Amino acid sequence: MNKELFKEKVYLKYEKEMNRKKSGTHKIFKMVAMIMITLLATTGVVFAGAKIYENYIKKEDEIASRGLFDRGDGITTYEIDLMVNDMIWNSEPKLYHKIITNIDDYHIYKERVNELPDLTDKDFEENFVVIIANENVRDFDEKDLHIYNVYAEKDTTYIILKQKENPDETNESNIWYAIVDKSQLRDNIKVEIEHRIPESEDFINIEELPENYSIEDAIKDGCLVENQNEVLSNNPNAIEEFMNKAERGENCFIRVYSKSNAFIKITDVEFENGIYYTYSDYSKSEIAYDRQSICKAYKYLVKKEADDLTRYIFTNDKPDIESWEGNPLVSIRY
Amino acid sequence: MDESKTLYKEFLKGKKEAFDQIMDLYAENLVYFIQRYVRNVDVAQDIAQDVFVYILLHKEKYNFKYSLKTYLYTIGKTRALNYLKREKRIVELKEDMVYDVDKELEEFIFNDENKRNLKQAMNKLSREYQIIIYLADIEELKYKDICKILNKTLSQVKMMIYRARKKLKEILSKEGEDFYE
Repeated sequence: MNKELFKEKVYLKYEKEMNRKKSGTHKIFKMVAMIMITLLATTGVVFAGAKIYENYIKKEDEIASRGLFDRGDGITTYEIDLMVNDMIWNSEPKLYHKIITNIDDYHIYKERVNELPDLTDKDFEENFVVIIANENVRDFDEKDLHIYNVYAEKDTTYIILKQKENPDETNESNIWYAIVDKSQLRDNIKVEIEHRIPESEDFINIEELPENYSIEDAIKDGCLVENQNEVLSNNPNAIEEFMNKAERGENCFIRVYSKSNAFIKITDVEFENGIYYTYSDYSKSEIAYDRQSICKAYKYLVKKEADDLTRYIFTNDKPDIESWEGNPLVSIRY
Repeated sequence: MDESKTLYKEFLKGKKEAFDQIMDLYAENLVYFIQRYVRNVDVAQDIAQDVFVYILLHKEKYNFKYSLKTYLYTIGKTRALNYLKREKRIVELKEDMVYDVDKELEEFIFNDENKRNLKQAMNKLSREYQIIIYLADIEELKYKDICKILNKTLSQVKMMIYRARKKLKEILSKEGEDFYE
């Protein structure tokens, strides 16, 4: 590429643009555009927001009413529960979904959920509607969700929900919808909740670690390494130092490699703004597990000493209450 | 502060030479990046020029939060996609599709032996995978920057990189090369 020619063209285009602005044509164009936008807005456009190529969602929102569950009287029975009778259950992440591709199906749902936007037969030529419903009590990191992304890869449409920025943990909305470009509709539907994955510039992705990632490799990479409750890595106090930093409110990160016989768990923990974001991987274990990884956020990391072990446990219950539930990070014999 | 940010500050003070240096630093790679989308070197150059014109016209818009490269690539990607949309060329491109490439530019980008081995295999990947491999392994950008450019979440980017590398590895293995070993 001829760099000088490239630069010359940039400056020529710039000058041209400046001249165009000065001549006033730009202003006229702007004025015409403004008039057209106003006209469009006043003649009633079905979908809010401009279509962006990579964002196939044309409109999305939450639904406050309980229309899917009952008929507005608060009484839910199996017969009238549209969610159980018509929607498809996704055991992971425990959400129902419904894909509506025609006006007839749409009317059934519209009758029960009036908050759905008004759509016509023509709208379904280019779009489909996704409805997601939740009936479970969700942890704090899965409250106040919204449909964040819908996209297709090969034969699967992915529907991604994500917690809103500055989430309201008291938001009880359990139904969401999105109007999506039909180009993204495939035979298989996968519903996922996007969690924040802990990250550090000092470590490569857990998924990219080799299958035979060993204790020696983990020590070399700077992980806290524990085998049968004994710390093998150079700094046995790494977890304590991590907790101290978190207590002072400092952002910090630790990767813990735990081995117990054939079981290997690698966990990334990032502390930021009072939350512990974790990602645990089990895929390196020598025995197969149902789940290869779990991504979860917690409010507390608690230290419990019992017998000769010090246990470090994540929990979302206030740890000063009588009984609380938690997920162990690591147990160490000092 | 990295060199490009220092140069940008000079440019903000009105030094044209600083802007020339910014173009010297990023023009070729930006053209190559845009080319992954538009598949035509002339169009890619045209769009890359427009990116720099945009910078000249709206110099105050860069807020130094991300690297200048990330900022340029983000604008470049948006403009490339707008071009595709305008041209109604949003179609899945066949894996074996041959497209117009500036050979000299390609030599500049794939400037070492390892990267050169990647070149042929990359062309067999889907466009989406080519772009992510280019950003992660050729440009060696941080994940956060890739997220910003592609407007995707960290986990989406990580998953895409993982899948793209896996696919690339398969292609390279078939051809007797192994960049990732």
